Amino acid sequence: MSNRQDVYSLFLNWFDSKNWTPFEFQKKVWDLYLKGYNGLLNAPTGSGKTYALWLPVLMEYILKSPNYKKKKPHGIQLLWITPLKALSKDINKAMQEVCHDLEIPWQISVRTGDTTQAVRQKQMKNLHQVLITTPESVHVMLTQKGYGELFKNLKCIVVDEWHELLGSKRGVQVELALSRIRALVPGLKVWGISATIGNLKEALDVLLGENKGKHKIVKAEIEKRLFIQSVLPDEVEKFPWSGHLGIRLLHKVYPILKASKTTLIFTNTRSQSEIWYQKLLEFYPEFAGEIALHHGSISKELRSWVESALHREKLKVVVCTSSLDLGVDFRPVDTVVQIGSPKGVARFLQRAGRSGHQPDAISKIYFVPTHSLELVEAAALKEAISQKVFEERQPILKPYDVLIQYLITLAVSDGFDEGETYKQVVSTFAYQTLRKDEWNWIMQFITSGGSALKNYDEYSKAVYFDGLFRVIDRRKILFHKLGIGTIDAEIAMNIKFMSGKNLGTIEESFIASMKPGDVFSFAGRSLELVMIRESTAYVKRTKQKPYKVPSWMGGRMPLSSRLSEMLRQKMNEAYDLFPKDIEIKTIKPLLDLQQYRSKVPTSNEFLIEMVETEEGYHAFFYPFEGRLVHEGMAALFSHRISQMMPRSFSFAMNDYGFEILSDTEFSIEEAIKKGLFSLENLVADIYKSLNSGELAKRRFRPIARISGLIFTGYPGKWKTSRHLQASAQLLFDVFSKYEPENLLLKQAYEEMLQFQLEEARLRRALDRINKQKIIIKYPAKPTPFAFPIMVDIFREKLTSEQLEVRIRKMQMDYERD
Amino acid sequence: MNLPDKIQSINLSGEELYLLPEKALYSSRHKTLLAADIHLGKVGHFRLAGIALPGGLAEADLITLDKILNEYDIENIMILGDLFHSGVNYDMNLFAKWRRKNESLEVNLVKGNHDILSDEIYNYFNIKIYKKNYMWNKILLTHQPLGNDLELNGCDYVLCGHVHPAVRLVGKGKQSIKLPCFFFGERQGILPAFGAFTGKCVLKPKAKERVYVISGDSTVIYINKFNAKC
Repeated sequence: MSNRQDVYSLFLNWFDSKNWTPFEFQKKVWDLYLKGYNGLLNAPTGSGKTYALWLPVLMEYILKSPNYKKKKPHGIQLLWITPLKALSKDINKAMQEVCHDLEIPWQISVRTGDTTQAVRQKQMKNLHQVLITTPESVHVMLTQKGYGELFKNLKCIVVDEWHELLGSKRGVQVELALSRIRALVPGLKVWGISATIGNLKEALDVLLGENKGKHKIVKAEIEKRLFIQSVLPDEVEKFPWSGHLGIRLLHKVYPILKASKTTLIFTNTRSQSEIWYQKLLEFYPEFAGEIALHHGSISKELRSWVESALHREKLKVVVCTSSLDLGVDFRPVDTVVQIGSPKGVARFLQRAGRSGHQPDAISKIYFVPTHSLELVEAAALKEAISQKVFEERQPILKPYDVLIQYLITLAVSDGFDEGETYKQVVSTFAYQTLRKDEWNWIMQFITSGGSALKNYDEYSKAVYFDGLFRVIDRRKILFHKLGIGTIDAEIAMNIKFMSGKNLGTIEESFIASMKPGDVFSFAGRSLELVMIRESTAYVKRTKQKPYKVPSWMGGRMPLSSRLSEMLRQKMNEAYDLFPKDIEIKTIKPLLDLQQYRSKVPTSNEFLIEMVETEEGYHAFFYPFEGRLVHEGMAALFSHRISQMMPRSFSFAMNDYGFEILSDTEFSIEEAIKKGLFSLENLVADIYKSLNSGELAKRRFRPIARISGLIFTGYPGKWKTSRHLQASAQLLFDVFSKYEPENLLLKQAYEEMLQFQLEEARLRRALDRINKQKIIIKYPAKPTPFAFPIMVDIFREKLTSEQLEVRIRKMQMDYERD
Repeated sequence: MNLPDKIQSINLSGEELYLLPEKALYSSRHKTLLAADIHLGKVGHFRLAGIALPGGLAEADLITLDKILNEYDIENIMILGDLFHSGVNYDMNLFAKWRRKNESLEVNLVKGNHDILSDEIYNYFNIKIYKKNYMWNKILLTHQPLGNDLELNGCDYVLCGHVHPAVRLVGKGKQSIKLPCFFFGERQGILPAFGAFTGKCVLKPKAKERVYVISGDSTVIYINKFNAKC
């Protein structure tokens, strides 16, 4: 077919045959695509976004190939990159359907980390027209010799759920892969698909980098009706002041589940989802057989089983985590329950949108608070949604670790030319500010191992050979391929039944704390640990009640700055004698107690509470800025006070405020007089507080892993890699001592500044505090505001005392007899 | 010879042993240094595999050893296992240079699980090796700790390494800190790992166990059970 109108009608008829009408945004994207545009499509999950970009690729081909039903093009035409493995299956299905119905002989393959070696080899021998894959898998393909052949016929790369990738190092991986493939294939079109975020324009800039070509943002403008309701405790006086499980409201969630057809219960952590699943079954055994659990550590097989049971309307309730945030719609789902704060407006909306997919249906979401003050957050969320406030996703700038990994990737396959690669790298958004001296350091790092080579040194990774930088040693090639990926994960152990059936993965540190015979809960089952062999924990089923629930890292999400703004606004309304929001009305008795013991600050007041307990001297501050900013501010304040007199602090924070705690008394009035909130020397003080604290150390862990300093081991060969293992903390210490100028150390500090101690945000917060009236209270007992922070056992430390002085004040952590 | 005042000593089986902040024990009577888990060549082993550790780190332990040899009168070194980390690599050249410089020094090694070099290499470096243990005066030196059923047949006390012991200290104001230590039980004591590029394993001592923590590079401090104010 050579006429665009004919091709359009071919597809419009197909829509007709399904009783669908194409959306305006779909037609707009088809049109732009065929005109050769790059772009970004802003459309929510389940809106038909796949058809917006999959169909024009076919249209373009059919336009050029009258014989399209007989012949298929050579090589991969479309590379579809998605952040979640789980999504690929459904995209594949949707694409297959079109090919089948229209008799287009294109083939589609899926390649993710789960794809077996044998299947991959087959895929590479016989290339299908569409490849659906993840950012990591694209990089793994770049480690293959002759990868240029794979990509040379490409017409388009689509990056799905770009907003999910944007703020992470995986996004940078996508940028780098694009820079390489676009250089190989001139005229290649690049499209991103993103949910609504506050910085769509920037999202497009990041995707396209310097080589934008013709480009456009297309917005789907689909309004979804939304019903939001908080689940309220009957007596707020008896509702806990702190906590994160929300189980107390189980009996109030039950009627919601009963009244709904299918409900997704979202929790914020995997361990929380295990507990909710257990408790629901314990209290309402009638759900047995109709309830399932879904989270990221559960094996692929179990997860797909749950997903297909959802589709087939076999399940009434699924308890899940962010593992079900994305992906195709489960049409039967009519209700969503969110346990605890979702920490961001976008995430809350995304989850709400998982329900109500029938035409004209309403998305229904219930918010279940886990502690009293969280109800204020519910009010803030509603306000943000009605004001259409969306969070931005900050792109990551210049991560040296990802660049190091990428350069080794290129060196492992065909080798790379330094000049050409440098040009490609700095054409990306992430590395546009990369300086030549930084590049040179990185080149030195991968060739001679950082410092200048000494004559007795055997370091080598990449070598310069016949005009290109290459990795030749087979062991190093394997080592690198195994380490690709930027998601930080603790070493995961497999959990299997004795029969060998795989249940999923669990973090090594959890298993390390258990003995054979211990009973724990996983994937909603009670399991007894039988033995640990290499990297596998073998278990058997048991009837005993589990007394341990594994905890997985990464459960603590900070409140977004947008939501913090709303929270401050709501706190101010909380001061009203008769507040409007039902949530705030509900917790009024708690706020009254806060007022009685100390004060509920208005928007022009800054509250500090000083409390003395057996633990020592506590100072509580309430900026309502979200935990990341609080962490930075706590480090800064601890540092500034510790400069007046040598002392040690520990500090803790939540999204409302933070606490600094010292073993010796200090005067807060004096500290304020001496410039505690001062904007002077802010940057220098931030740096110093980082150095004396341990914040940067934790940041170093993923960096060390991505840049290849931590060897994650050969699969199944636990022992052979043991001689090459060192903890990130040890590496951080030895680099700080023996090679302080190392850029990877610098990156750890810079990430801290970029994400936690973001100077601009800290400055704004201090500026606001300086304009507020400082109110210092000395409550006899911890207040409702203070309590949740005080009981948090997760603490950072900062000291200006000599180690010896600290040791002399301490006691040993003895084993209790 | 006069030892600096701040260096503490303990008595084990009638031997006075000084606790050096460099993470070794010293007997002035026998002019002997006891150290465990140096892991020489570990840095080279990592770099050989393409892991870019700081180059200067490889020399750190030999520099520390030199410093000790300068400060104290030592004729004999007893190593309680894991002198070397792995197979032969170029770091061995650094050790060879050091060994030539300290030719007259007697070096004894009770083999550890990491000491996998062939006997010729130990011979070449003039290191006396002991496969399982060595009776040093009345103290039995081993690499791995002996189990609970340890029979002290013939010896009074066991000193070992392997564990890389550390303890956690807690203080008011929810302070806590992990530090490497000398860890002495009633019949068996564990030396801290000497090497600069070695990890730590946190132990929880029982009430009767004696622990001396190493504070930075300079001090060894005894931790009392009830309070550390002494």
